Amino acid sequence: MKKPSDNTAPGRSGWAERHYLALFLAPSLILLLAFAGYITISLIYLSLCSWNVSSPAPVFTGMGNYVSIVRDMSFWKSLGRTCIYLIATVTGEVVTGFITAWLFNRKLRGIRILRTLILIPMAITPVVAGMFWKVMYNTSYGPINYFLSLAGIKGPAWIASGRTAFLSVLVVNIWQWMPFSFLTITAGLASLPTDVYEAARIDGASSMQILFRVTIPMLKQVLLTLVLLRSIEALKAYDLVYIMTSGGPGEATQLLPFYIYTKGFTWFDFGAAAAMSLILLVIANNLFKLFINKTGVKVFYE
Amino acid sequence: MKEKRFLSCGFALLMGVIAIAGCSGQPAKDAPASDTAAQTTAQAEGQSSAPGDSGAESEGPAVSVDSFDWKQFEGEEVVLATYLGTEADYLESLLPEFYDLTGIQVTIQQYPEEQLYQQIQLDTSSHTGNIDCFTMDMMRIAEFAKAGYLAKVEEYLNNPALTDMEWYDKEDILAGPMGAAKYDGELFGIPSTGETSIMFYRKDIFEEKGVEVPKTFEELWDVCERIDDPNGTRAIGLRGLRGSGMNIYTWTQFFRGFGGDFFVDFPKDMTPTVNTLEAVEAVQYYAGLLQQFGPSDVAGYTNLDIQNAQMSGAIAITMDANVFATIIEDENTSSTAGKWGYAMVPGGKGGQWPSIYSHIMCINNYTDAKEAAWLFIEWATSPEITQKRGLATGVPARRSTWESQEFIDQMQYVGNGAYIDVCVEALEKADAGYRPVFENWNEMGDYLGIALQDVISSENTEGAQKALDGAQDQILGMLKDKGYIN
Repeated sequence: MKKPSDNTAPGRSGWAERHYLALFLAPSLILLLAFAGYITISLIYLSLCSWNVSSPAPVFTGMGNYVSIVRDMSFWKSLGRTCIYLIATVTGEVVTGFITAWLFNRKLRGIRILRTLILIPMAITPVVAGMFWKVMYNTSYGPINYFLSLAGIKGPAWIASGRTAFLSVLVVNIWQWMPFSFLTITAGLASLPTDVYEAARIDGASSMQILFRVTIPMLKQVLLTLVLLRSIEALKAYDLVYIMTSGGPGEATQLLPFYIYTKGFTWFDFGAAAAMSLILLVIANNLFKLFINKTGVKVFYE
Repeated sequence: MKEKRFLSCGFALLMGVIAIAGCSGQPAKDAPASDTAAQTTAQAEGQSSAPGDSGAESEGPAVSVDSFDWKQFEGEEVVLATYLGTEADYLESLLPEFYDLTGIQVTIQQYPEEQLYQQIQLDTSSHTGNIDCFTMDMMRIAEFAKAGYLAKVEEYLNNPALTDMEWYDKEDILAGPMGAAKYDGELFGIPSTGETSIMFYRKDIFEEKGVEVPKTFEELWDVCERIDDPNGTRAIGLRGLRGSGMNIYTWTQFFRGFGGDFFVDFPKDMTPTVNTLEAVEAVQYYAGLLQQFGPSDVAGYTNLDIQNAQMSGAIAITMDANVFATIIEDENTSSTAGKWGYAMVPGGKGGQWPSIYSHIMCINNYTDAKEAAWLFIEWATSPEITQKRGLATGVPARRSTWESQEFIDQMQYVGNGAYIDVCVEALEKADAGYRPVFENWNEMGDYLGIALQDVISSENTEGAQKALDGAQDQILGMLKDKGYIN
């Protein structure tokens, strides 16, 4: 393994050879430190500072931000709402996605066109989707209430009523991301081996039995990964709320990410916003760790 | 009726797409020159560009070159950050004139509202001074002034070496907007627009139902009761969506009108008084009016939704920013153009409270080109350029423009000239302290806005006291945290 250059600078190249692993890793480690490490550490520091319109430069205040967050009812309510949102959207997306994928998983004429059509909502920018649905929900000229009125029903105010606003936003989110579940599950279904189904059929299993005893268990990894991905996304949900309701009416659709945004970028209270982000990060982290440990989902296929 | 509704739905979709293409992304707060405003005023510009061509006219300042040195900062460069829209485009089109006059190269950066504040916040707090001057929401002046980000412009304004006193005529700037550019008694900018709120009403509907233009809140309620058509045009629409610059902007007309105030004695005693009897009364009135006589989803209405409702004939009355007028009177986009009447906003026992709103041009305290930036602001807010900009927007901040024959002629089509009279009266009456200008107003106003929207979106107005008590607690806590009160 001796190179000619060893004669000129033996010590140096010896060091490089011994530490070649570290050297190869260095570029990506430096990038990681610069873009993830630095930002995380700054966030932690910032969350311990008072930095807002009254004190334009960050001043270290220790746990001050956290104390006021604990006392902030809006924070707890927003957090609770985010949890409900997380459970409801992920369930909705995966269940509807699964049903459509399963129904469409057969050889029919025009099925490929239908599949393409189903994917459209996912291809729309969330901001555009939000504006589009705002019009759909409008009570004076929106199509939803128009068709309801044809059937003699007076539709509710949807996003402008405290009772229906949260549900209305939820529906849009499910509508937009159901195609992602559909796509993932369709791919999962296509990759399943056919011999298992043949065996099941020869043994006389009904199609329901095949679905619950064969298909779903074999899709477990796909489904769990899907749940994980969509949960991460749901915890960050912000765009639809921002466009459609601004968190209203009152605080009915104020999810935690939106509250953090309001604190940070509308009220310029960066310290408190940083602290809240950190709390959300810790909660998310532990939630997903728990999920991965309990379900045995393979995040890394090693 | 239903067919019409469905058609207007298609229209609304189209509008949505246009708005998206315009890349605005979010509803603008406080109804300043919005994108729709921009579209409609484009024509006005087309017309006004004709007199602009007669360059002889624009050499007004050139006359005074003898006594005033416009070329003193020749070769400097100035960057202005401002609101995205046609007004900025128009100002940009006048820049060659300014360059010829001063030799200063100006670059205009346009941003949607929230990005604009973020850009300015970033640039000022990092002390980089890349943006030399910028246009600001008057309600944000306090934050930035307190932080030391804004240069005091009084010394430039009163310096004969930097301001051509006679030509500039600072007394001509409307007192309301000028007051809005002040913080703690110091002047931190010059208003570039002067908006106020007026009452818009459908003349045809008023005539048909035989009702008088309301002057008090009781009369307004009465009129709404008589003209409301639950299956057609609803009587009234006011902003419902939460926000210090959204529903609180229009609600304050009622809050102050009922005799309420935000604080015990602003700014000496900052104890909030937002759950008083008057506040509850104002919330109950506002929410009740909308629940009974407004579109069923009015609780989510933004300024843009109000405009759309006006244009599509969904509402007959609103009390909102006068900048709406040129938008709803545009025959190309509005099905109700020509049907609107204009009047002062009704009042209550606390008097009439037309709103005040203004965009203020400020100088970055950390730039090296303060004097050059001042020359630019001086030029842009001068009588002559204000007139040109005013013709395009309909909301100039100078008396001379409001009184000029050209402006009056141009605005004649809006309510047969009623627009001018009402606006001038409202601007004279408007109090710069309409909403309290202090650093944490946005947070305070948002808490109130949440409470207000909460009540509007509920079934009745019984929750008013509870919602306001909640807002009072939150605001009290916030003010204590920030050290305004003990």
